[in-house]
Amino acid sequence: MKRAYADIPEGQMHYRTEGSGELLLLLHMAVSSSDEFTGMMHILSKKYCTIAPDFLGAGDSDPSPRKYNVIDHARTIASLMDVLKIKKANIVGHHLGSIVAAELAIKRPERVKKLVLSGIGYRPETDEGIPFEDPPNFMGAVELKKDGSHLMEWWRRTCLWGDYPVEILEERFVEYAKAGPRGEEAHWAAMDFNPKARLPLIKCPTLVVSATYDPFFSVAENVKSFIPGSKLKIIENGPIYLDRAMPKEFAGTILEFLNSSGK
Amino acid sequence: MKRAYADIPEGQIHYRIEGEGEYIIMLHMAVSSSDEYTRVIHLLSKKYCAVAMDYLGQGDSDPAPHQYSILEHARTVISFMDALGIKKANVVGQFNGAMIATEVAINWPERVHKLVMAGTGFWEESEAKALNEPPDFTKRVELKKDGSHLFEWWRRTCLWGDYPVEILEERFLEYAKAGPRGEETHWAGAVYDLKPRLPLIPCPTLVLDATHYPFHYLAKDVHKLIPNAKLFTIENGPMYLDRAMPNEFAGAVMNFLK
Repeated sequence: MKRAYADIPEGQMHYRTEGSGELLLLLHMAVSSSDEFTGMMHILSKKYCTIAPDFLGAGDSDPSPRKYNVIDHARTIASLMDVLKIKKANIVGHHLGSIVAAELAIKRPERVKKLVLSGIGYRPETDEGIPFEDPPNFMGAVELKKDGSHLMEWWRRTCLWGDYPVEILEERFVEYAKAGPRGEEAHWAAMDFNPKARLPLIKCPTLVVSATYDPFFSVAENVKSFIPGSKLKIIENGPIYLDRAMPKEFAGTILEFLNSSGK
Repeated sequence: MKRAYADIPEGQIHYRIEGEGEYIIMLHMAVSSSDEYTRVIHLLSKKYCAVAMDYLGQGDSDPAPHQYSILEHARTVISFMDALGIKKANVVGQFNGAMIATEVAINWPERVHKLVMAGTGFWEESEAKALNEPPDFTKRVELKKDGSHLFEWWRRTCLWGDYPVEILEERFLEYAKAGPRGEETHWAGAVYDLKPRLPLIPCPTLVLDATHYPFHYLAKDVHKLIPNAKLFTIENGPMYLDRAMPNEFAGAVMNFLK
């Protein structure tokens, strides 16, 4: 695995890459980075040229010039593909990454082969009868404090999403620290997406992935129904940090879908 | 300023680079990275090509294959210069970086124009014996599920003076990036015997000192031991000198190099 920087119009975009063959882009969740995919990339790189960028303002990329929405982030991914001379790629997105991947597939269908949308966010309407609740205060702005209390707030947010080995918790914590006080802009961008209106516009072969302990598991069938001709794969006992915690299962699901012919 | 990676035998070295002209390689302190030099790099880049690298196991570089000594880190500096095609450079080092710079200058004299050593010092034998037990700011930190390791890293960050919270956060992030193995750089410095090496430095050297550096009281002694050296002290300069007083730091370096 190599790490590198690409120069896009807004600045430097950091990315990880491993393997050769057909291209596979991996887009990370909010307040995270390409680091979440390292385990999966080792597996996927046997058959694909995997590239995982850090969104602007995340990981080791330059900050975005202002608060970016998912359309802006999708445009930066297209810029990255231009710089790396990638005409077309399969795209895997996890949470926010899946929203950005969806927008790229809608706006630039000629750049996307197949799409894998993992944990795409859909908050059901009350009349749909599906109970859903975000945990309290998981995305309010955090200011740096001289007593270091901002660190415990970031740690608390890291630990909201299930029980993991401390090494995985620490990986996610470092993402919060790297993104800094502007880090939550990524969550705000994700909230500003209308799945019911946008997802039906996807034309390419799509796999919806949902893990049973993911917050959006209860609406996975709804999401699948929004995307014409899409498939749905449930990963049993999968948590929200699916790629970090179950890289084999997640990578295996992707390989199976990409290897299958047609829709 | 651009960030990039260079491939050396052990793996990838992350570095920052800005400017054109004669090279200045900048070597950071223990549990830190090239990030400490960003402000200084902007200033130096007007006249020099300033390049700051992250040691293996620090910042965004790959980990070291085992705990590296000061000399092993010095060898990675040469590997890094080779990877970038840099034949000869001025070398600036702060604390551990000054020790590493010393070994670069002594072992590879043909690669070094001039040397700037900031904040370095040495312990007399009696003090060194008392250091059998590592001081509590360099003991190994284990990750804990309650997040208490974060407070220990923050405590260590805040030991060295009062700074704007943004500067404290920069240093804290270095601890978080380096992780539990981060203190290996402090331990390498603790077992390195600087005093007998100083008389062997073959090139013109600036001993850059600051009134609030921990080894300020030794600056004159360090200066006396180096054959061809100048001494300059920055008034009110704190430990995180490059982060907090970049104008003075860069000014002292540029005055010496020209």
